[in-house]
Amino acid sequence: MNPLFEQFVIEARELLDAAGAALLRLEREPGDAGAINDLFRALHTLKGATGLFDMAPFTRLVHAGEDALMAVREGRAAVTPELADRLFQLLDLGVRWVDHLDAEGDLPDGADAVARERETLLRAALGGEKAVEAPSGAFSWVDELTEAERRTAGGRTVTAVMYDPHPDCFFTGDDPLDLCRKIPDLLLLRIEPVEPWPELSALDPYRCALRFRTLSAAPKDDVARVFRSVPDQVRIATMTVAGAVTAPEPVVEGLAESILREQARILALEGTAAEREARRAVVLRTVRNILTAQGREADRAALDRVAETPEALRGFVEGLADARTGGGAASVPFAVPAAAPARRALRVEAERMDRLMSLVGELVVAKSRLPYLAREAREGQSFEMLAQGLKETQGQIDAIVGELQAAVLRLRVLPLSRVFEPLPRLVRDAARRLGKSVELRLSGEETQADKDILDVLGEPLLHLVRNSLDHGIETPDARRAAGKPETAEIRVSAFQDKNGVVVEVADDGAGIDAGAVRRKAVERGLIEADRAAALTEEEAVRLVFLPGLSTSSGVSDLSGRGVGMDAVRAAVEQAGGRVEIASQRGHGTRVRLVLPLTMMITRVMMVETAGALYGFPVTLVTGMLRVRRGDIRAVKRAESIVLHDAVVPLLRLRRLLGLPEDDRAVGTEAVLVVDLGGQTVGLVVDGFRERADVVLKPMTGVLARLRGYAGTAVLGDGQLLLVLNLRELL
Amino acid sequence: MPIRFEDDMAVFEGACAVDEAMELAGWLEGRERVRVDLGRCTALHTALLQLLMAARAAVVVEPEDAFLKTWVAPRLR
Repeated sequence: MNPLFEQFVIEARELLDAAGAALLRLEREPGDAGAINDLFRALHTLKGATGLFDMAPFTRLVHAGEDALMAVREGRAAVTPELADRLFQLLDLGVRWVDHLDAEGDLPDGADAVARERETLLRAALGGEKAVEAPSGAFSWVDELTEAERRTAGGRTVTAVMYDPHPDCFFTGDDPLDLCRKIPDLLLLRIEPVEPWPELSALDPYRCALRFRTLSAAPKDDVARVFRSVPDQVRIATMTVAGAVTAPEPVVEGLAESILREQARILALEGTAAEREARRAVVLRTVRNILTAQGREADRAALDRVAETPEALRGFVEGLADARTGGGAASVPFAVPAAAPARRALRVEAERMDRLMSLVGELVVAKSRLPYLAREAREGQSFEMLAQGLKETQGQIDAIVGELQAAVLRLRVLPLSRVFEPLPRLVRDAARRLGKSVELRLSGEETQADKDILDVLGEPLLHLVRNSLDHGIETPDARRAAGKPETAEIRVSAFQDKNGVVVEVADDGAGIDAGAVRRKAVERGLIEADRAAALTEEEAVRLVFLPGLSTSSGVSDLSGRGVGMDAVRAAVEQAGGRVEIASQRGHGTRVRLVLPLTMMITRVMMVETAGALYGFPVTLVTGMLRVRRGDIRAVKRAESIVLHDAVVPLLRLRRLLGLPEDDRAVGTEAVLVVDLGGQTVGLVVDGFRERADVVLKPMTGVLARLRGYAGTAVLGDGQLLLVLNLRELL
Repeated sequence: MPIRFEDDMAVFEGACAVDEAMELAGWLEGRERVRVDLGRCTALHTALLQLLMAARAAVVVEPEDAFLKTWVAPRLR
């Protein structure tokens, strides 16, 4: 795949995202000129980009959307929910096509038919917009050519074009005359005013008042290609078939320019001679490709002349980039790298990379002290001096490695806005389908977390919001009856606390019926009736996290069969986090996901049992207690304690691990209180140890099949720590 | 400067883009006789062309550019 095409795929995704966001804003505030402009700009840039490649259906599709917006901007159409639906569908289709392009390198079969269908649907949604069809006899002017015109065109096979530019076409960057210049084998070009010329003072210089009638000896397809960005403004008729002539590809400038500018920037980067040389080769190749694509032969020749001198090359490439744009970089998508989401590629700020680079440099310097020490050892330097030298070097390397680690972690840190992004659209579509009125409030998008954590967070978050929409939020009628405002609210907020990243999804809907959850859990045999009855309201609500429990009697297409909450819990815990839920009947539900800042480093609580160390992710631990033996109630071998007026089952780690019973005579037991998402349990251990940040390595090979272990970690003193997965042990 | 104004003559040089339209319109307004020099003009934006056509401008120096010479200049007589 060539670099230009790869760039297109990335850029098209970003533009479609931007268009989606703008459309949401527009639907909410139909008069929002900023939203219309953003949407328009995104579509227009995308249209231009599609024009770079041979994908007429895509151009047609985007153009249809652009047209509809034009109608809105001019007040010919209103932003109705139907129109918004159509536009959203158009964007969705665009996303699917980009995916297909990315995977297969071309558009799916039948894309053209689909594009035409969307075009028609959009027109219908606009209401009363007439389809542009060539009326019969429109080309009669071809028969009425003047004597002089007949001399050049007469007696030949021709392609006739009627080009009626849109009055606003200048605003979208079109230059109709320039398009006509690109018509291959031009035989005739008539330039006519659409209406008789008004007084000069009454002429709006920015509205196109001309139309064009042309004849070409080239085949229809070649001529049509020239006009592929304005398919609705031309009518093209084939008279006969002539010899094929290829037209120079009209290259859209914005994209090429920004690539050129990027090349100039790359050339300016610092680096070793070898690095610069490597970059120069890549840049040369890219620039040459662009110039070839644009048919800028003269520039290409000039490029070859300066290719060997880096300074001259850089100046030349900069010149190329500036030559075509009058500084109008506003529509160049590259200008805003930070806000753009990265789906497959990870975008890293240059400063962060530079920091990493300089740390590696420091490490190399520190390391170079070691051979020197080795030589001293060989030459019989005293042990004290050697020890001193080693210690110093170790200290240096330690400090650098610490910073390196932090720098690498920072590379992977991204804002949560990335996982929030699909939510507005989800809420909008679902609310519309369910006939509910919902306001989504997002906050804390700027909170940062590790890329892996974001990946884990995405699905559960969608699930929770879907759940709220589906089961939590009532219909407007029900809300009115309950004395609540008709428009419900879903708040999704993110923030960081000392344990990690917290993401909260809260709604002001009906809340969870703890009684119903209890009954269902008993019905399904997930919990014994007497235990269920003993649960507090809060605990009963947490039963929704049990596998196989569905609270909604109906099955909806939105949140499936209610297996979601279990999946949410599993995903979050897999990443070393935990889920909390609080719900008040009639007032709403709040679900909180607590995730560690990074998955590379896990904070564990260490305990000692039977002479060995075990770790538990700190996110699961809610407390540590010393419990007198007398306070432990025992029914046969099932033990429990009372904690905050609730009965908590007590388990012994030795028994869970199949270790011999503790025969020490102690008056109190060390109990670790652990929240297993829906259930609190106490775990008797031999003794508490400190907390530690460890790099958790999953079990591999034969050990991977062992249940009960989350992984291993090597402690600072070289000891091996087994980190347990309690849920699997129980 | 792609367009230079000299008395009743507008001299077009290089690629003349839509940005020039306002200034050209201002210059044209109220002018009886409009003459244009397209000799070194390589591209003329539609917006500029339509102003010249509406103002019934006359080309005094023919463009060297083949496209402009063949198809556009004849519109300005």
